[in-house]
Amino acid sequence: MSEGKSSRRRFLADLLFLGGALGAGAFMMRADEVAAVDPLPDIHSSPVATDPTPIECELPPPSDMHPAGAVAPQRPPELPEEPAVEGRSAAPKPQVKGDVVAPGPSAKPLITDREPFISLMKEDSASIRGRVRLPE
Amino acid sequence: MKVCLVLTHQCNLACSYCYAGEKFNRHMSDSTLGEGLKMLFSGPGDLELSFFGGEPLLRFSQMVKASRWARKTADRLGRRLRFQVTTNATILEEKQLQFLENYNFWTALSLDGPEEIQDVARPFVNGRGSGSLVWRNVERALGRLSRVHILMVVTPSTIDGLLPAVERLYRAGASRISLLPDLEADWVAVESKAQDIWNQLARICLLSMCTDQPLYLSPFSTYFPSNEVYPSEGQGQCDFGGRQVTIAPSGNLYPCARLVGTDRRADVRIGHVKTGWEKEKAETLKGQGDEGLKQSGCGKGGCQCIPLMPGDTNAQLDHSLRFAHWTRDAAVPVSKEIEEALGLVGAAL
Repeated sequence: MSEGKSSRRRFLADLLFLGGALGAGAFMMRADEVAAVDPLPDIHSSPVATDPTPIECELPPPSDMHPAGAVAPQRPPELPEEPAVEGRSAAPKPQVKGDVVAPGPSAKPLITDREPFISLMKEDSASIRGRVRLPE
Repeated sequence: MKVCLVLTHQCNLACSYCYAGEKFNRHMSDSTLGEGLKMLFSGPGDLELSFFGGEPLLRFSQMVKASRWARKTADRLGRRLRFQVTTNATILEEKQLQFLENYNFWTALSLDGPEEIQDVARPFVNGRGSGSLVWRNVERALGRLSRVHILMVVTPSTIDGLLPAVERLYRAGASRISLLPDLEADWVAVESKAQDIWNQLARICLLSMCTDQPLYLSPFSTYFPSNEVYPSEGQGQCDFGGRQVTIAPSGNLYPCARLVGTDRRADVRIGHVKTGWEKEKAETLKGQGDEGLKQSGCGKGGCQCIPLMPGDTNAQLDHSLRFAHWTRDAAVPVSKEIEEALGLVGAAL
């Protein structure tokens, strides 16, 4: 969270949790007043949305599906090609250890026991479809 | 198509209310995992791969293997895929966080209240409290991951810590919290207090949704009055009995992760990874679930797994209905207030 966003959140938290029983109108005016003087780039870019999560099953919202190969613009999809986390602390560049480290193209892969997955990867989607019964 | 893999029946916590029942050392084999992944990709539409348990991060390396393979396959086939995990937040070190971040997981973290409440409600199996470790991990995850969803089981003994915990989570960056009342608990003694807290939380949730940093606090957030100015987003849908399946470590199939339990109930199974999915059985269970909800007065929109859960389902449905009424009573007045306020804003403009 950026410093601006963080400061805004503190303000809103105070208003929501410590502000007493503010009416909706008064709350909105108060929240907007501060938003107006706080030059945050993302304020009001997406002001309100209803909860995209169903009460009962706590599913993630459908709108967050990324297309294949586009996990996140700044991150390639595969762990071996992942950059380490940047700019989060002064600590040495963190690396995933153990079975998710990608030491380099010539190094021995650290994920072992991959036979079931390798064999799966050799199958095309048609052969996969033909082997499991699913509802129409 | 949604596939949920229950990687293990083992868990390092011993929560008294856990619907997964007795914990034991049975893990999913790589062979079953492979069959589950094939099942995911044989289904139509967008794909969702979830991990559940027991505690799925006890099987972290297996989760990494499965996710890596699924990602590659989705890319190769041009399919859209997302990942989800439900974890107790006790095993969230750097490598787990980086993995969840890299694969853009929806990460559901279970937490029941401030440290002293979490210690009692969700202790480790050896009796030691988990509060301090879990809060450290949750706050770290909230600062690091963009898709965090907090799951809080609310019981009569944790209700006192609910407001402080929600406040602390919001201040730490949480934007999505689901309150899950323990439907097997006896709420009579704390009914008045619980309703009062429910009222406060409804107001906090709905007012926050008028801001740029909303707190989607389920079950209240669905009451937010959407309109042209504040349009509603689509809701995630449970497809119980449809194109979603949960796979137990044994390979048995269930329509919902909540029904897996100790994997001993043949009546709620819908097949096995080796023999396939019994569509008719899944539809029958859905019908039973719907009927149970209808009889209890919950009507449409309830959770179809509740009437199929073990234990006293009538009592659970009664409690479910009671909480639905509390929620409505708490949220509707605030919702109307917001509608009026939005009308005033519109007139001023």
